[in-house]
Amino acid sequence: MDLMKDFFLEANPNPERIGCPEEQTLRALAEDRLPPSHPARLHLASCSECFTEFRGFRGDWEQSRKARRRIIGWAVAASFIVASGIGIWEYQHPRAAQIAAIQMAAAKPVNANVDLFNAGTVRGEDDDANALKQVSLPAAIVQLSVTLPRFSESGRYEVLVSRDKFGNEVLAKGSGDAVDTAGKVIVGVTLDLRAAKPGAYFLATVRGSDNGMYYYPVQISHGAP
Amino acid sequence: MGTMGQTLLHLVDRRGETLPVAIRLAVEAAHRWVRREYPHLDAAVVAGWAEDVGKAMGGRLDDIRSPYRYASAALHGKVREWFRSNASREIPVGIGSELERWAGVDRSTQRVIYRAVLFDQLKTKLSERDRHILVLLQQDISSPASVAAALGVSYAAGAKAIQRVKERISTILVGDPTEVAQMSPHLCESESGG
Repeated sequence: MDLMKDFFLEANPNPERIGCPEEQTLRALAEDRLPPSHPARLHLASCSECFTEFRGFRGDWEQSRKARRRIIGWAVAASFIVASGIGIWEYQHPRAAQIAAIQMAAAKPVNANVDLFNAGTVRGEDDDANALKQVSLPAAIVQLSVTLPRFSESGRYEVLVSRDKFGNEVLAKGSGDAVDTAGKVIVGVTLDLRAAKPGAYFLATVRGSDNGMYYYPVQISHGAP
Repeated sequence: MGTMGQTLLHLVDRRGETLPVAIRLAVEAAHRWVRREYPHLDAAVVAGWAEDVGKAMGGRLDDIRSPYRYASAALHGKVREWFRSNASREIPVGIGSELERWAGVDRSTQRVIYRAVLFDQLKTKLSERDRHILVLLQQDISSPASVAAALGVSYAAGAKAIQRVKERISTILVGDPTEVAQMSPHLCESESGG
């Protein structure tokens, strides 16, 4: 036991409650709502009854503060857990949505045109002259319309996309009949490029029974062609 | 029914009728205070006192202006009466020490008497300002700045006054160093606090 606390609780009886502050004042003192200079604080030194009441209010206040701190602690912890959950969900949900969107977009056939009409026709250029400048294909199912180089003949064609010029690692292959339309021979094929990672590839055309293959550099990207 | 931990209070008047809310709340608050201040007192005994206080209050509702004030004073009176009666009973029959041990009070009558004498000494030897400082410390107003503000003196004077109170208390209690050890944590929080 605290000796001084007992001293103030017992040594200054004031049963007539002479000069005592109001109950509300004592409560305010106990709850630290009044400044240190409030005169009622010093009154407690000469009135055991008021000191007793003060101690009662003080104890209740401290207990409620502890309880409030506990509640706040739990609330903060709960908020943190909820926020973490939301964060994780937010992190995962857009990714799932994004993947789904990509898959949906990839499953939908995309039209693309490649014009090779003038490719490889300029004298003096090496293989790189066949480069399809600014041509790219999306990593999707592509309904590709290829305008074959000048002087190409109609007939059955194979069109493929490979990693290199030697026909290794063929990613997709399709075939179609090339028809002459207004002086240009055009062949339509469907290529499934969904498995292709973005990067540099080669587009190759092979005519029917011909052994010759013509390669043209092409870019595959996730975006639109 | 009120609760304090696991103690239930049966707060009714002498006819067995439930007391008004204000009375019940006041008695429960006083009961909580006694349980906190005297944690070693037998909970059942304290609950019995609280219920007696409630009964008494129920019989004089018209006379009670402040239920909390009444309940607090009445229950505290019962606690003090218990301490007095148990101390005196110990002399002739040698019983009560166990009760006192439960209550956490001094185990010997001599010690109880010593406390009474000590309180008299404190009253006579401590100045009013000393008592003011001590009661401020009891309110957790312990920094020199706060004490100075409460007393209306300068910071240096406040710090000095706290130091003087400590010395004076030590002088009064010099015959019982354990009391000093019990008091010291409450005497001053910090002398450099702002």
